[in-house]
Amino acid sequence: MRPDILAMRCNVLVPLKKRAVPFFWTKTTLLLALFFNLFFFCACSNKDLDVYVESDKYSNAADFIGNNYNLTLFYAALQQADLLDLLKEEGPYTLFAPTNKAFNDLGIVRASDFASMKQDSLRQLLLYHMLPRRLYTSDVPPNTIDNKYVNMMEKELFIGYKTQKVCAECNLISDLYVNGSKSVLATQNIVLANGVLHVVDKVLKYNPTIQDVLTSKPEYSLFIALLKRMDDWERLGEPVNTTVFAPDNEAFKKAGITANDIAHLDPSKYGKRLSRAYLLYNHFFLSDMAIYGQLPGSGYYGSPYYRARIVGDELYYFGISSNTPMEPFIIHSQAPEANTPLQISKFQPSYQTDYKADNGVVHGINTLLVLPEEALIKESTKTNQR
Amino acid sequence: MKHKNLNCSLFAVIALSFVFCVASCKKTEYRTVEDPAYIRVFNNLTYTLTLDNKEEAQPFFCMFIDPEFDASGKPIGGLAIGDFLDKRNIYAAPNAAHAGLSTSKYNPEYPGKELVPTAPILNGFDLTNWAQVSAGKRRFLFMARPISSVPFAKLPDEQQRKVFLDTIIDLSSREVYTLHILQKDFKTKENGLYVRQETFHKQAFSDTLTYVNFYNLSAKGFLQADLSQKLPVPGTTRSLRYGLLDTMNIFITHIQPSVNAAGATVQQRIPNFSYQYAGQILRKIDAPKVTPYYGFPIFLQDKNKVYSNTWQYIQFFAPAIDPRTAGSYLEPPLVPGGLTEPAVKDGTFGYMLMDHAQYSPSNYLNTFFPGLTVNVHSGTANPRTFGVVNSIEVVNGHAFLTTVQRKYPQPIY
Repeated sequence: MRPDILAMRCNVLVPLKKRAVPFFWTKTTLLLALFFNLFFFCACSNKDLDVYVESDKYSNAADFIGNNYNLTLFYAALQQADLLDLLKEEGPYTLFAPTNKAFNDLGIVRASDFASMKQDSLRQLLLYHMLPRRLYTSDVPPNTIDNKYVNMMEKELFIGYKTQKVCAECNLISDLYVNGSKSVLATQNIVLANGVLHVVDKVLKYNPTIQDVLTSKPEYSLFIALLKRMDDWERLGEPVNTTVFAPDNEAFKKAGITANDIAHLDPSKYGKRLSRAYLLYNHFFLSDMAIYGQLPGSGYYGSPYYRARIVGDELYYFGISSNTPMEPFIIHSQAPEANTPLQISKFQPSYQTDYKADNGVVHGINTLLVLPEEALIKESTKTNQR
Repeated sequence: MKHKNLNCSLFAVIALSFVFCVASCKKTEYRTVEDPAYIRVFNNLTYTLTLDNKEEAQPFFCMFIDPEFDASGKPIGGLAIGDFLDKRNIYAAPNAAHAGLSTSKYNPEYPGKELVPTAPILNGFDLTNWAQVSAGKRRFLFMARPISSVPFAKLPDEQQRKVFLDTIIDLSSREVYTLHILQKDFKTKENGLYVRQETFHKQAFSDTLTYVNFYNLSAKGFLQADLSQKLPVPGTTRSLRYGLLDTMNIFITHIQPSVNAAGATVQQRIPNFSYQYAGQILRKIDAPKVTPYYGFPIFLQDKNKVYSNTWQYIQFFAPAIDPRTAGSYLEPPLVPGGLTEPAVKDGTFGYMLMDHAQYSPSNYLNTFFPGLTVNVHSGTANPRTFGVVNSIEVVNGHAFLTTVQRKYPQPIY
């Protein structure tokens, strides 16, 4: 304290002894008290007194799934594959849990249906739906695709996240996509004691190569025959990315093409688009287009979700149109046909798309994009080929 | 007694005010940079991710100068950090236009919105837009990061590990540099850092002229690429969308707006200052060098002597095309309307309209840029036109204008 203040205080205090209860004494004491109080306040450090107590009321993954009526088939599958004990452990886990509807789409309607499956492959399928970490939607970069996270089968899951609020009154769009399966805002980020759970609308499907995907499904036998005949089959077993839009046997039947017709095709007489209209040398899920949105341009076929030249037949584009639901189409790149698609197809129901393989993705479609007679090389068009 | 009583209150008041005085004291430690070089960093990667180029990095960065890493190899700090480094704006204004005005964290340049020691006034030029960084060999690390307002250090761990560019450059003391993140090859998508040592503060520029020079920093193979790969990017010029040839002649025509008898504004070119040859623009990204500046008068109006409303119509022509005789191009002051695609797609022609009256930063498919002069309130004159020093950089079908201005008298209201 400054010496002059001390001296002042002495002057004030000395006459005090002579009087019993002097009025100014109380006042000075009061002032002094106030003065010292200031020091007390200064000396205080503001410690945050809110104590964070971690809630212990969350259930673990196994119990949560078991108690959820919408996930009974997923629970039954976990039970069948002996994974429930694992999900009671500390984790952490991220689970992408398909709904009962997702299993129903695949023809699995009751718990006992899992009993006939091979336990090992069922276990692999289920581990494919889990990450050995916590992943909330906020951990995924907004409006991006292809965020790769290694799952418990040691394969990469491709996660996309769309988050948008167009106007103040608009609903918040917050869609999480895992290999093309969607998890909406209401069923995302369910906190578990040992992780986090997102409910998805499709069972994730995985095969090592695209060849495996196609051969495992009898409905693509004619398409496989066409690819083999046109020398495009080998690529689908190699480690280069291809996205396949596979027409099923019904599509060939609608066009009046039989296995015999395909066996007798002469590949040299046809443009490459006969088979390559269905092959994109790229890797994407249908949901990726929903996240990235349409390409710039105008009109139905001018601003598609995707458009790419057909490899080996570059005068033609494969595209996915801007309407809902998306429609794959083929279009000539030059006038006069540049604004009208030559053929339009439709996707199979969503549970028959987004088959993931290490070297690409397979999406089922229900109409042929190129008929053999359309792809016949004529003398006039031959000169146009690049 | 009364006197003492008063004394006592006085004492208390003095004591209190003393406490307040002491409590309100704060020692400010100014950040100083020893032996500084001055840098300004632009991100010229304008591409948007589509399904075709989705494997490329998101062109949104966190920049570290002389980074420090934690045990796991993740950058955690360094000499300087510039987070949220976004695509550059088409106009880099002469003063720190972003500071304090923007509510967005995204930074269109470095230092831009960062609060770092900035460069002083050098030879009259206000270099507030340049940051000070210690001279010498500096390591620049650009980490690709997702576009969000989460600071780099708070991103999930795996998103802090995407190295985009890591390079070492040598900065000389008290020199001025502009750094550009550029795509070097359009086909291989190779990227690099382009470092140009500026010389404008060393040149003998006149106060009454305004200056401009041109750079073509386009990637190798951009012009030759398929037209369908040259997507328009919102908010940038469309007149150069398909690129320019590696060597182009530049012609500047000066346009004078006037009001006709009917009261309408008429744009007319100044006959003696039409199609002025302003040198060549060469595509060069390997050996950064300042190109010659072209100067022209600022055409002050007769009556008020301090203000000019002329603007500049810049045309790029492939050598041998003479705009005075070639009739097939838009003739200044004609301007294309609306969403016009460039008619010429082989890179032999391009144009830019430097008209501040028509420039709007929010305009989709922008063709109009601010003028090559600056009009501001200075002294009692509002506005007053100043000659400034400009650089126009053409990068992969887009153009960017950077303006540097001398310090000018503050406005008197």
